[in-house]
Amino acid sequence: MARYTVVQILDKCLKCRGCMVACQRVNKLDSDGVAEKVQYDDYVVVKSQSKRSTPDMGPYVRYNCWHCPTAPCGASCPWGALYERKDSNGDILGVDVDRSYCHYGLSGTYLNRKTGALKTAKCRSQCRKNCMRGGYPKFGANDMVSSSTYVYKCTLCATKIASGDLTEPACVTACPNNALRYGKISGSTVVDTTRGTLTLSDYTYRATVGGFYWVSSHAFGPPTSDPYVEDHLTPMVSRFLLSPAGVSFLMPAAVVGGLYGLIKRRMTLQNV
Amino acid sequence: MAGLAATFGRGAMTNHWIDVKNANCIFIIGANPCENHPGVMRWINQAIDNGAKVVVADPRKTRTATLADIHLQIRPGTDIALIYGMLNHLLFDSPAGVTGDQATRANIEAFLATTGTSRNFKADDGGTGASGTGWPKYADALFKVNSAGDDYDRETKTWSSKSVSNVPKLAGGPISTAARLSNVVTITTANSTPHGLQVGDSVVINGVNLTSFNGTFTVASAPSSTTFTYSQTASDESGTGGTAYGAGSVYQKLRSWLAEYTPAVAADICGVAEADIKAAAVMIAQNSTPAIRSNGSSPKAATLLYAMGATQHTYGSQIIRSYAVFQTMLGNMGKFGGGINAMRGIHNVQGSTDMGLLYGNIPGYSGPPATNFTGNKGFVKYQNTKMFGNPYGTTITTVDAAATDTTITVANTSNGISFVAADSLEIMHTNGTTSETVTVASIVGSVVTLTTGLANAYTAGATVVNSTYATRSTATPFGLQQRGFNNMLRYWFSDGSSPGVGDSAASLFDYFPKGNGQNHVQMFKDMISGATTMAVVWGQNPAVTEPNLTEVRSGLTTVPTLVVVDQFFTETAGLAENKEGPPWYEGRAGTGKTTYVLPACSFAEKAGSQTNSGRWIQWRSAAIPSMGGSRADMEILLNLAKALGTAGAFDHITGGTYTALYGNQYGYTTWLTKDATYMSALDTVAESVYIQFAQPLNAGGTLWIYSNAAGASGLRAGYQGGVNYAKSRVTTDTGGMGVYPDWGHAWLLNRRIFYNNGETTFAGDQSDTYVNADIVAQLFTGTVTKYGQHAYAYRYYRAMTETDTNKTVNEVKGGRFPKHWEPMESSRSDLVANTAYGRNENATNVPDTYATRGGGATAADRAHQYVASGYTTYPLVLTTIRCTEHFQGGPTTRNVPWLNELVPVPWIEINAYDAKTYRVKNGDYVRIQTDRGTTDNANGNFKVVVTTNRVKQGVVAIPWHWGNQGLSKGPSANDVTIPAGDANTTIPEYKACLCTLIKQV
Repeated sequence: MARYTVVQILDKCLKCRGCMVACQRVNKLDSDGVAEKVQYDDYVVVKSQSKRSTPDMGPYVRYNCWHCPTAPCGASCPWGALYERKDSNGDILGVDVDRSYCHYGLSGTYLNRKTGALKTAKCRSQCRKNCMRGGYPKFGANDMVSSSTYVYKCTLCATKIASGDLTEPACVTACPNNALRYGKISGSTVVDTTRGTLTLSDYTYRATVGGFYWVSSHAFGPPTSDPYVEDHLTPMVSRFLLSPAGVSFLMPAAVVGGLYGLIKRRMTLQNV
Repeated sequence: MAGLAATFGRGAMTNHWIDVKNANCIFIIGANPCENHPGVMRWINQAIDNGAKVVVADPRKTRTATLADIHLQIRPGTDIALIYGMLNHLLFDSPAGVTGDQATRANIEAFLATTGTSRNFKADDGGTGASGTGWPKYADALFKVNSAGDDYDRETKTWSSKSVSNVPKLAGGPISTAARLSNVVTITTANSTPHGLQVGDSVVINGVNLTSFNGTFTVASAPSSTTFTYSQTASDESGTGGTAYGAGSVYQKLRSWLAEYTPAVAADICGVAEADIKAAAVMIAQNSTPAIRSNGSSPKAATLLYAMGATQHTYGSQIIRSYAVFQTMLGNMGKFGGGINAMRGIHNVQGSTDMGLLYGNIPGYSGPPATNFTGNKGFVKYQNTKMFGNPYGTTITTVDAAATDTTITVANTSNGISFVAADSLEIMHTNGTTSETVTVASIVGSVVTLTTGLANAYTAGATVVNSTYATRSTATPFGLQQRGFNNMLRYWFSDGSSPGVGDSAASLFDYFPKGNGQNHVQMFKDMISGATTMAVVWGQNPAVTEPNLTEVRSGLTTVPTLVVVDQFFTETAGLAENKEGPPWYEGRAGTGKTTYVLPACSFAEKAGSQTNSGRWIQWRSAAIPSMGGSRADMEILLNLAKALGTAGAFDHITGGTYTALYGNQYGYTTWLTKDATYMSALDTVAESVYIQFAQPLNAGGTLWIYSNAAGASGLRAGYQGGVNYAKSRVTTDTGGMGVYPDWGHAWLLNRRIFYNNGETTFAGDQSDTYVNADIVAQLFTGTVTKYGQHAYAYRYYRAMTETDTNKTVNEVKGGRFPKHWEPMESSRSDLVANTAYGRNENATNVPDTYATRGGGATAADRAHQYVASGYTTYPLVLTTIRCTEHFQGGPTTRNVPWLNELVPVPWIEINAYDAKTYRVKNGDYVRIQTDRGTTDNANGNFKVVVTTNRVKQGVVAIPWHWGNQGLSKGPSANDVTIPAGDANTTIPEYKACLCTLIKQV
């Protein structure tokens, strides 16, 4: 049982963002028209890891679902909407989403029918906990009022590849620079039948957890911020929110702050 | 393209995109392939993987620049100074680090002096007729300046002058007795031009040979006198050297021309560090091998990639020429991984220019017949004499030809067209009235025997004023271009019978429209003035893409009838509507003017040939039937022609042309309808058109550069696609160099790499023997003696001849050697005032407003006056840029939601220092003001992006893709860019003008 993977060669990516557009086109995703910011339904995001003073100078890092081997999001899904899709040979194509099974309602929550309690989507929080590099799947902030809210994440076009509609993910086909490769992992090689075999061990920097790789010939400090949060807040806040320190510190702080505010308010009311 | 065409003979990418992977060094100047030509990055990446170096020269630290080993952040418009600074370093400083077979000065000179022997060339189309040997190669250029000394005169700034004053004058003067006796003579230059002499040069003064120049001359024998006079003409112009570096050679003149552009001077002009210029020169030189490639050797080669950053200047053609000088001297032409490669932005830009899209061209890069062609006596545009074979200026040198003489002697010189039997000539007496028409029986040398005796007597100086060629389409004296034109007349104005045979009747020629169109700035002025009453805008969006949009919109709203053919409702089409806002929004509605908007379908819905950047002709079939009511451009055009024919527009063309052309020729007699056969019918019709112009000329083809791209057999085995080579899809890469010789077809004759001189037969590539020293040496001089027959007229049209008196039309204005000019609006007033630089006096479309800025006799004077005072008003240099996500005028991308999501608003990149001056910060909005006015703010303003090094202090970079239609709207930099254009091509100077910012609150 082999695994298919997409490799982004960081040295070659030039952020033309053809992969992003190809993805949105193939998956029939809406454009939200929000200026230049990562959207919740962007399966694939390419962002420059840059300082503010030198925008767009690279390296250009692609974010998407890492397709973890035992996907924690899938394990946490109460309906089995997230699962590993395999092709006819039993090779793993990627962690796929079956939206018809995804029953989240407003704001990424669902109603536990047994208890009647409103529960938060587990896949997203589980992903943030385990992956820290983007937090997929996502739920759309803009879709909060919509009843059609469900998970948005890269599937490596697994459904379409399994059905034969595509031979490789649309993003890989679209890449004009051969910065993206797609194929079965076999040891240290990725066998891309179209573009030639890629030897991962040739690269100084390699990062993966499953069906997606970053590789680079140069030393590279992998980003830990969530591109979505980063665009809508700031990189610093994003990094903090996703860090273990942030998670362990923020929640007690919020509770203490909330209590303090509540007490303060009650005292104010009493004083009146 | 004009710069390349005048230099090498063909205005096209010399290599092709895949070939970039073979480069050892990639010099990217005036281009940003990462963001604007992502398709070529695959091959650049591959070259980098193989160890290639990258040098980028760009005023902006683009994404491409982040890949570079050296980034030269030059001031906009200083390319020539940069190139010269680098050449100067290589030719004068002999930098350490350039050794061995790399581009050392000695190697360059040896290469330029190489003489070719016994190479075959092919005499005719078909690529099979090897019929000559001993033709020189491009490195063989004689490198002489002719005795007349037609050269660019820097000091008088005239380029048609006969005087050569840029050549150093050695100062005559006393030689001290001590110096005389020690055989050392110190020589200085009399004028400001450095002398450019070098060690080993031989100069004769007063009969004494001065050798071993090394700052001073060591005299072989002591001069007899303590004074000397030095006659430059005597030695310099004699050109007897025969080597590249002999005294008086053009190489030496170039070298003296380069002398003042020391790296330090170039660094000052370009605004970059001197050390960087030197390092870049060394890096490129280390990866160049100035030597003739021989079989089996794999010399290093550096490629030069450029795009609009180079051409969009008032001296763009000259910038390209400086690139050509650079690449030729470094020996990078005609090699795998070398060449000069203009990256074209769309899949069929090359094809559209091949087809004569530009206003001064007819298909195949010919000039149209001049308006005063009638009578054949008053041509002003000599390309027409070349094109149509009239030996204008041919003089009869027979003295006192008697009335019964049957022979005349003809001085058939500059245009090279000789007569053949059965041609008829009209001879004009020197008295201007006596004339007669005679028929040629035979010709031997310059002696023409006539079929009958002369009716009148003539004296020397009689001229041939008119002629008819009996066998214009096939006779070898005639260029293939002429033959193609001859066939074209048959197809267009006759029944198309017997193509490729015989001469077209003069009546067919009379149908052909005469004269040039107007350039794309003037045409809108003509609409405003009322000279133009109808405009058909087809697949273009001038209301966004042209400079100084206020005038453009004004023209488009004024013109009585406007037809817009486009896939989307563009800004141009939008002028049909009235909108709230600035005056031009009031548009055309309700004014009694008519606007037609015809929907054309997308590229995926139509069939036809595409000629890509690397000249590869590939067939594209329609993928789906056109959607909605949209139609393929070809359908629209044919229907338009049909409607015009029905309305009687073609009634003056007799002989059933309409029926022949639109009823039968293109393979269908019933008009296309969207039924089950629609797709295949579309393909058939397109292919009929294609085969008509791409088949061999002898079989009736009309376009010489595409000759043999269809309809021939036996040119190459293994083609797929039947008679249509553009359909061939053989994926074999013979030789492993990315040539793929049987994939599609490349003009000319499937040559994938131009100017390889045919020294070797590349695996997979056709050897390019169609070029010779006379062509490529036009870099330096043109001797115009012999040509391969292929493209005779084309070459001639572009030749830089010294003897032709009518060179004003066809030479690259600005002269043989490029020099640095400042942009029309320059922030360096000191350089503008420097008489050695100044501005390009031949720039076109200089704004009228300059006339009010202090007068001045010439446009250049006015411009100079203007900027002398205008610099304080507009202190920032505006350079236009593009982004990956949007395309040209934007209709095809600003209507795609996903792309708008990525880049929804236009922006302005500004240096942090300037941002502080203008009190703007990231996210603020500004308007741009120039001498043309202020950017339109009806749809928002430019969003400020503050950078520390993306652009330098004093430069702002602004995209121009936006307008008032589509999903994302915004102002365009073109609202205020300068319309002044290149002297040769009229391409506007989008890349440099002066502006200021107005912060919006």
